[in-house]
Amino acid sequence: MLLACADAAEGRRLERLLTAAGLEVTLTGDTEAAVGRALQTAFDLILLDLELAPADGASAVELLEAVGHDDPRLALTTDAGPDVAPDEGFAAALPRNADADQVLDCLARLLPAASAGGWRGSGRWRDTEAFAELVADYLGELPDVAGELRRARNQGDLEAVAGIAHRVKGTAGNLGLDGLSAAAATLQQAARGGSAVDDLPVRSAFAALDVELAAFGTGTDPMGYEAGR
Amino acid sequence: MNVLIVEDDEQGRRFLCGVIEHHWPDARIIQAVDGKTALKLFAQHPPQVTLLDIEMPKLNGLDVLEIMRAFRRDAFIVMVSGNSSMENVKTATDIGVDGFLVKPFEERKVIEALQRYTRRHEQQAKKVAVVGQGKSLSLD
Repeated sequence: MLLACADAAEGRRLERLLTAAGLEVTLTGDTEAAVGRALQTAFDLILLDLELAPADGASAVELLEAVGHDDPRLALTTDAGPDVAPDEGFAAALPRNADADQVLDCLARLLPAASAGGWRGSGRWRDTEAFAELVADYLGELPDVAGELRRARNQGDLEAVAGIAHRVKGTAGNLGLDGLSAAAATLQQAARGGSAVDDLPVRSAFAALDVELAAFGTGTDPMGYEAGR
Repeated sequence: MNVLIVEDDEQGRRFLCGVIEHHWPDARIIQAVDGKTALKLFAQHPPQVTLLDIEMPKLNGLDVLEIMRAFRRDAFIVMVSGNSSMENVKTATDIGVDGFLVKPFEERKVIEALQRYTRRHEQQAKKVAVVGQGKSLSLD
């Protein structure tokens, strides 16, 4: 489930409680991240704090519903109670600082329905040979991608570095190469926020990406770059 | 079901094609790698579902979406993007979208987006059947 909570301490408390109950929890602390995760990943349940920032939870729900998002949602609010109807867009509401019994009672009511509305696929495409072939093809292209990154770095072209890293992040993520995707995301962010390829965050991100690329027998040749500087 | 996939990244297109072909073996899929080609295909072979990438060179997905909407208000269009900022999503909803998929793709989210189309299509077919009072009607 996705847990989006404005208060970090309360978020961690709920995360511990939910994890102890056997749930896999993704914790976020702001609306942007909550909306992004809700659109990217299918959750059985989303627990959304109405006091999230910068936009509040209700605005997030409005936006999610505008794009047809229909994962079940639970509101975290100070106003929740047995006689209080949940806000529009929420299946139920949970009071802030709810104790373990209240949380688990609420989940017990919502999760069976949530699960019933979940995965109805006829086996996953990711388990097919076609998917394995797509991964193999991409791994075959990785040396070229690493070469593109190397050239962009050696030319000091941060915009190109960010663009290539963006592509790697998406494709590697699609293919389940999570470490490579995460390292590319870090490089993309560092390149967008940096002013030169020599900036420490950019160099660190390149180094981290090279560790991931090395697992597939390729890399951007960081030692050659350092030696040539 | 006719599906138009507009995505400049080859791996992304192959991923989306793979998921759709696996779960909807009868689907007819056409592909475009840029906005201009997408608009041409959209007019020549009107798709029931369009998966439209936002970040594309020359003509970006939001511009393409605006033109598609001007031609067909009822087209089922799902945006695809690696940028899930609320501003980006809001811009798309202001123009009018039926879904928003965030990269990296999750198979289940792609399926859910297409299931929303099939549900809507079935509901519309039922309405037409009621209006037609039993007369034989065919919808595509």
